[in-house]
Amino acid sequence: MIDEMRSFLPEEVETLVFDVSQHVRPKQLKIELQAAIDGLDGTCEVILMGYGLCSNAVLGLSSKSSRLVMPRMHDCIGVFLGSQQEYMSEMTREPAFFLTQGYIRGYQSDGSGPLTDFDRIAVRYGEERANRLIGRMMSAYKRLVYIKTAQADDVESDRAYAHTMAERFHMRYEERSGTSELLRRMIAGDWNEDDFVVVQPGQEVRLEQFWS
Amino acid sequence: MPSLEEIKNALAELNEDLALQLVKDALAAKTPAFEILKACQDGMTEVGRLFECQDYFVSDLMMSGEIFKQISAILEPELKAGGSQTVGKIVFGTVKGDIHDIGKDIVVNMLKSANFDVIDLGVDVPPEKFIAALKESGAKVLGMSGLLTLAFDSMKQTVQALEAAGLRQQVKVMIGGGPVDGNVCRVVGADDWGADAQHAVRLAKGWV
Repeated sequence: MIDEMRSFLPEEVETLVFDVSQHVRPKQLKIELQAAIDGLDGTCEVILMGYGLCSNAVLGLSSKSSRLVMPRMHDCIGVFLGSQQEYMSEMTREPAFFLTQGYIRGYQSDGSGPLTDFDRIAVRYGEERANRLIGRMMSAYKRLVYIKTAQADDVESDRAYAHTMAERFHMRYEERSGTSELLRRMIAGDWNEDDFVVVQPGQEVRLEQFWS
Repeated sequence: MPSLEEIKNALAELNEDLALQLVKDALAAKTPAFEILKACQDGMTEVGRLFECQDYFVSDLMMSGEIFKQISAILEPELKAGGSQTVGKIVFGTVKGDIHDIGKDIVVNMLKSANFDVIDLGVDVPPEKFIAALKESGAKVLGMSGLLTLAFDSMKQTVQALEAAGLRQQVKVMIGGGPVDGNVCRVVGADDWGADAQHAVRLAKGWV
């Protein structure tokens, strides 16, 4: 999400970036986020977080001196689709594996993501088992959706990655435009209650703030 | 005769051929199927721990699910044959919008080994399908699983659909899955939640 945020960020804003691969281990991600928040203690008024609920990784986070602000979403896919409702509607119509430029670049830079993971499994368990697992994954997700945001550069490279992944896992490739409007508003300080969670200093992030 | 510890370790090490062979050998040596299943579940817990420590990747988790599914298929006839009378019916599934089934399969198999008649509706199950299965089977327990937080919405909608169908008073609802806890349970409107498969079995036994 940071790549999409950069174009809206004033130069004086300090940024911290975490590996996208930590999303699958939310308890670990929570510890890392809390440590980063503690490290910023007393240095800033507001901490903008490019995270949604993200498997509950953000629940319980707290800052002594700063307000925490984050999109009121399950995860960043909802942010790029523009609303929680749109995300739910996509997933209940037909569950999909979503990719954005941020995910693709993150996977490429930290060597994570399903493509690398399955290359690893073919080496460890052999082609036959790797193909069986791919069959299992194929029976789950039938489509891969690449969300193209306005800020994305070198989209052809993203498409190549997304097509490779779709072919590898026998998923249908789809593409749709995304929006960065929520990120723009988050950075501009335009935090309405429907779309953003704002947590005051000393308070904890709670589930009810995301979802009720 | 293979020990239960060996079976657990073979699964935790994701050694498919060895794990399957040990399970078959243990059955041949008259080890009770539910004890083997319990050892396998301990193996899956160990896989989860190794994943948390970053020794295992998502694909390894899926590999463990694949091995567990095959072991369950081997054990299922024995569990049925060895079990006494069915203690009750349960409708189970991963909710609409979510397709994760490894955790669900572990719970379903543990419930079967505890002599429950489980109607497993699979994944991405819409509220109306849960309702139809509850009506048709007369089951008094509904189990819903989900790994994505999106699943919370579907769980809540299913509980609301139960109310609308006039079934909420007769049916106890349990939920489970990675992000589920007591707080989620309260917001969803379920009766209780389970942190693991044993927990789910304890809940179900208390309800039938």
